[in-house]
Amino acid sequence: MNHPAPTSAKALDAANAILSIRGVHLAFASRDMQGAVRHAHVLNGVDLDVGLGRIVGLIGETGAGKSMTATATIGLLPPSAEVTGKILFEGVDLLSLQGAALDKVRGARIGFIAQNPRAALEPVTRVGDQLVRLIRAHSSLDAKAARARAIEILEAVGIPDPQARYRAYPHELSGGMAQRVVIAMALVNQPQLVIADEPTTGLDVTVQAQVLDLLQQLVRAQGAAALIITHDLGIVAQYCDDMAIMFAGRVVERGPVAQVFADPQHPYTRRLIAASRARIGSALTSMKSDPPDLFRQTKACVYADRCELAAAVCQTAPVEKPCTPAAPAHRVQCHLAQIP
Amino acid sequence: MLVRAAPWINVLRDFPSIAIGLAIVLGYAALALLAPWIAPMDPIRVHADAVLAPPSARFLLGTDGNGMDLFSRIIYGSRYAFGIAVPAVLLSIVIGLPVGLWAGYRGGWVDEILLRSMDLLRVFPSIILALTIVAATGQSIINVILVIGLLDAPIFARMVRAEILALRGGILIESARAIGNGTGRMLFVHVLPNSISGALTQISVRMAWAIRVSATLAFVGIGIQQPTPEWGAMIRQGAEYMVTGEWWVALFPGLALVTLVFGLNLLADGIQDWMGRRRTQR
Amino acid sequence: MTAMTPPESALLHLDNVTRSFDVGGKRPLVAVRNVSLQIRPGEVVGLVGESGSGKSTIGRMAIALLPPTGGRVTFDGSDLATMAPADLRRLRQRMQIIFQDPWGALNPRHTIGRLMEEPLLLHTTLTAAQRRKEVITIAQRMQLGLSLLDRYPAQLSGGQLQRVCIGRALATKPDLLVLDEPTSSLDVSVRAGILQLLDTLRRETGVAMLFISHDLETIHALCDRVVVLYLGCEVESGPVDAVFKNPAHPYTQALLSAQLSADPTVKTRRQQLQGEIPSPLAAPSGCPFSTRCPIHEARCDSGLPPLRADVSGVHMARCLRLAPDQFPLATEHA
Repeated sequence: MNHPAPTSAKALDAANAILSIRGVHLAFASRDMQGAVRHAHVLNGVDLDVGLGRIVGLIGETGAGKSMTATATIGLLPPSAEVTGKILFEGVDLLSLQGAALDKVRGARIGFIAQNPRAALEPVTRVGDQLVRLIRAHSSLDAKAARARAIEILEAVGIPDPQARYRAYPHELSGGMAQRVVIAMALVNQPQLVIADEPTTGLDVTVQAQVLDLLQQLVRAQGAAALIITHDLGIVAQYCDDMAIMFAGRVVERGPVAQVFADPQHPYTRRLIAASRARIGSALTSMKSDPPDLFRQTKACVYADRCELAAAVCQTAPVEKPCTPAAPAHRVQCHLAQIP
Repeated sequence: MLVRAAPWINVLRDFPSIAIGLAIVLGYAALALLAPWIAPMDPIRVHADAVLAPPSARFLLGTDGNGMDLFSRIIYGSRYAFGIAVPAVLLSIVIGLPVGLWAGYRGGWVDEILLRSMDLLRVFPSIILALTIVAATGQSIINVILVIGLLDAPIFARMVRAEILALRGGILIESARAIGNGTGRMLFVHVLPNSISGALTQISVRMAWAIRVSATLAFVGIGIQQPTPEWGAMIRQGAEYMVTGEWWVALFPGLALVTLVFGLNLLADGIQDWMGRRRTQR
Repeated sequence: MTAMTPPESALLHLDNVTRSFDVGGKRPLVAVRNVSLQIRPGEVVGLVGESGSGKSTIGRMAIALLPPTGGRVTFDGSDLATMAPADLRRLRQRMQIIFQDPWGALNPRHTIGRLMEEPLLLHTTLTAAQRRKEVITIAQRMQLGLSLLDRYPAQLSGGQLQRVCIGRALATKPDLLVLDEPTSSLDVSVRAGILQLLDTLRRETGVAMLFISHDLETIHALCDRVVVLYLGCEVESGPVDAVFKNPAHPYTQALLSAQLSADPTVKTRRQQLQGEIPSPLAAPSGCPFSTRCPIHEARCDSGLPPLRADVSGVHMARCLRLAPDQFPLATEHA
C-alpha cells in the first residue's frame, strides 16, 4: 500500500523545497500569577523544508509547537501573536501576506486538514454546498460544473453514494466520513501542499489506516507535497518520506525517514524511537517527562534540561547551525552529535 | 498556569466594568448604611417655607411638593433600594438553589414543575405579574420583597439546573460515586460548588431588576407610598411637576435610580466576562 | 466439556451480561450483548475494541456504576444489582476505576492533597494527621512531588493528574482496578511512564485489573488475557499471546494488521476492511461483523454465532468460519 515518493532525498534544501520555514519565532503575551506580563515562546527558531512531492512527518509531544507551525503557515494566528522569520511557499513569504493575497493561497495552493473534522465543517450547511463554495471561490466554474466536481471528489475520497451524501449535514456523518469530507475539501482545488494536523485523532484504528492510505494515495496522485503533523511514530514510519522532530519550539532533527530511524542523532529522537519499541520493564520507559518551560527563552539547547548527555556547552553556548553530515538531508541541532 | 488565582488588582485592571460597577454599587451601599450620618436633614421633615424650592445652597437638590429635602430623601432612598433588593435576591437563592439542584440531579416531577413554571413566567411580562400580585395581596414592603423573590427564584434554579446537567454529561459525578461518595456528600461537596458560578453572576442582575420593579410598583401607585423616601414614589410625585417646570423633583431620583441600576448591570457584565476568561483558562 | 473457569474462584464475574439503552427511537441501543467475563484475583484482563464495542459500558458495569439490563454482575460472590446502597458504597473501596480523562474526573476546586485524601476520608477511620501521612506515602509511590499536594488540578500536567487518579484509586488497597483507556488522552512520551507504574503496582500489590484500551501493544505488554469486542459482542478471547499470535476471528486479524509499526522497514500487510463500524443502533442481528467481514457468508446473518474454544479450552472465538479441527470445543454460551 505504500506509494513511493517521486523525488529523492538528496534535494532537501531551499532550492527544491515547496515550503521553506526559516528561523520562525512565535510568542504570545500573557499575565502570570503576580500580574507581570510574560511571553510564552511557542516557536524558537523553526527551520523546516518540505520537498516537492515529498510527505513530511512533523512529530513531537504536546506543546512542542507542531500545530503552531502549521497555524503560522496557513496564516491563522490570532492577532496577539508575535511572529518573526520567514515562511517561503513557492518563493513568497507567507508571513508577509495579508487579506486577499493570503486567501488566494489558502484553499487553492495550500490545503489544510484540521484535527477535529467536525470542528472544521460548518454545522448548518450541507457538506456538498461547503465543497461547492470552496470550489467556486478559487475557480471560475459555474454552479453546475462545481457541483459535478464536488461529487467527483466525494467519490474519490471513498464516500459511498456521493450523490446522496452531498446533501448531508456534517453531524449526520460518522467521524471517518467527516474526515474524508475534510480531506476532499483540502484537495479539491489541487493544492501543491497539503497540511494535515493530526488527521486521525479520534478515529478508530481500522478507520485510521483507511484514511491515511487514502491521503497518501491522493497526495501522490496529484504530485503534491504534504506535511503531516502527528505524535504517532507509526504514522511517520509507514506513510512519510521525511520527518522532522520538534521539541520546545525547535526542530531538533530532520531527514529522510529511513535514515533517521536507522541512525537517530539527537538524544530526544533516540528516546522517542526507543520508547515506541520498549517493552514494559525496561529502563528506557522511565524518561524524565516534565514539559519544557516555554516562558524561558534560551539561545542554548532547548533539550539540555532533559538530556542525559548534556554537557556544559549545551547549557551556555548557542546551538550551532544544523550540522551537515555526509547525508546532506539529515540534519540535527546538537553539540554532541557524532556526524562523520 | 497563568492567571489561576488573580489578585484583585489585576481583575479590576483587566475588567474596568467590574471596577466601575463595583464603585457605583459600593458607593450607594455606603449611602444606605451611613444615611443617618450623611444626610443633612431629616428626610420626612416638612419645610413649609420651601415647598418646591429649586436646588440651592440650603437644599442641594431642591425640595419636593411636600417641602422635603430631596438630597436627604435620595440618600435614604438607597436604603429602600437595597432593603428590598437584597432580601428579595436572598429569598430567590434560598428557594431557587435547592430546587435547581434537585431538578438537575434527580429530574422527575420537580424538574417538570420547574420547567413549566419557567414557561408560565415567560408568558406573562414579569412586571405586570408583580403589579397584579402586589395589588391583590396588599401594598407593603414585605409583599414586594416576597413577590420579587418568588418570581426570580426559577431563574436561579434554572442556572443551577443547567450547570448540573452539564456536569452530568462529564465524568465528575461518576468519579465521585466510584470513589464512594453517597448522594448527600456528592451534592454538597462536588456538585453544588461546581454548579453555582452561573447563579452567582445573576445576583447583580437580579438586584438591578428588583430595584427597577419596586420603583415601578411605587411609580404606578402600588407598593410604597409617600411620604416614604423611596425613589419610585418620588418620581411618581415628580412626574406631576414636570409639566409645571419643577424639573428637579423627578430628575434627581430618576438619576439615582438609573445610575444604581446601571452600576449593577455593569458589574454583572464584568463578572460574566471575568468568569468567561477563567473558564477558558482552566 | 465446557471451557469456562468455575465462577467460585473468580473475583469479578459478568455472567451473560447485556446492557441496552432507551434512546427514544423504535429500537433500544444495545451497547453490550451477551458478554461473559471473569477476572481472577491478581489477573490482568484486557478489553479491546473500537468505538461502539461496548468496552466502556462493560467497565462501568463491572464496578456498579451502571446496572446490566440482562445477566448478572457479581463481585466476590455478591450480586451488585441486589446489594443495599450502603453496602455497595462500602464495597467500593475494594473496586476502583481510572478514567480516560483525568481532568474531568477530579473536582477542579479541590487541592490534590484533598482529592487524594478523599477515599481515606470516606472509607477509613484514620485521623486527619494519619490521612495526611498516608497521602504523602502514596504521592511518593506515584512519583509525585510533594509540592503538588497543595496545587489544583488545572496546574498539573495530564501525566501527573493521571498519577493522582491512580494514587487515589489505590488508597484503599482495592482488589480490582478498572482502567478505561488510562493513557489515551496523554502524551506519547508520558504513556510509557504510566504503564510502567501500573505494571510495578500490579506486581507489588497483586491487584486484579480490567484494562480497557484500543491499543493492542499496551494490552500485549500488560495483560494476561484479552477479550476482543465488536459492537457489544465478544468475538474472541484468550491468553494474550495466543490471541495476538494466532488470531482466529477475522476482526481480530484486521485489527492486528491495522497497527502501524514504528519501524519503517516493517511494512504491515494491511487487511483492508470495507466500510465503517455500523452504529450500535443499526447493529446486524446475526454476526455483528457481517457488514465488513472479508469471509462473510449468508449463514452468518442468521444469528449470533456460538462461542467455540480450541483444544486448550481457553482461546475462544465467535465465528462460523472457524476451522472445526482447530476450534472443536463448544462452550456453555450460545
